[in-house]
Amino acid sequence: MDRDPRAFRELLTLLLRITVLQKHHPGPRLWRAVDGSPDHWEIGGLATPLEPLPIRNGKFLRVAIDLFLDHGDRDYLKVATSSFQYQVDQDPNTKAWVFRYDYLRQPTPQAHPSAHLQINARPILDGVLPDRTPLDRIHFATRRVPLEGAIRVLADEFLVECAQPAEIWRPVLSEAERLFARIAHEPPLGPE
Amino acid sequence: MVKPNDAEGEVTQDEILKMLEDAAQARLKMSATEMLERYETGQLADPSSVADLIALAGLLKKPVAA
Repeated sequence: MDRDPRAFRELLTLLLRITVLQKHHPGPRLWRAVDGSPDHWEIGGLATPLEPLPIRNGKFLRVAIDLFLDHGDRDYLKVATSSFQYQVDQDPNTKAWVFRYDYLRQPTPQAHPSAHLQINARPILDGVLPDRTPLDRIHFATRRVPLEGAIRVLADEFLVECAQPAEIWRPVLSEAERLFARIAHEPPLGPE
Repeated sequence: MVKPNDAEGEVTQDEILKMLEDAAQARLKMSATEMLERYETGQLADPSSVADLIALAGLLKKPVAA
């Protein structure tokens, strides 16, 4: 990812445009605060940073990535937080979400894995969750999942039609994943 | 905020605070300040439900919470 947030945004836009992004949508936007931190950017929605992106099945993918320049590590551009949420409507505060992959570089005091998957569903079995905890509050530990992973779930599991044939988009995603794997910070699967 | 259809956009800290406030109230029925304080101290029941807000707060020059 090096040091250029614009190049990173362009890469994500390419990945989305050849796959699940709604036709003619310009893709995620790179946001900065004019009077805020000069070394932070957010990749988010078009009208506002919190706005989900429309995808080709009429539903939405909320993309939120907090980028910063790490002055302690050669000014490399790094991700502080990423969140990819598949949801039914465009409301940024919706309760109608389906799944979400989150990554928080800074461990939280809660005993949740820093990279995890959450699913908004109900179990078909009774008595399997502690203290009536709803299933959507369970954090399934994952390796760090980039945008490519969320796109693959949408395309391969939820059968969202892609803009390009699989022979085109799969190799592009695979190459992006290889580059990601070489440089990505991987948090532990749970608190240490 | 700048017009849509550009690859880049700018927001002010006041606009960010307004977005955080509206979203924290809508999702958690609390202020943005309380949400970020609870996040920092591990008292949010499900911090992932506001992961996008935590990402947005990263644009602020100073954190809302101490």
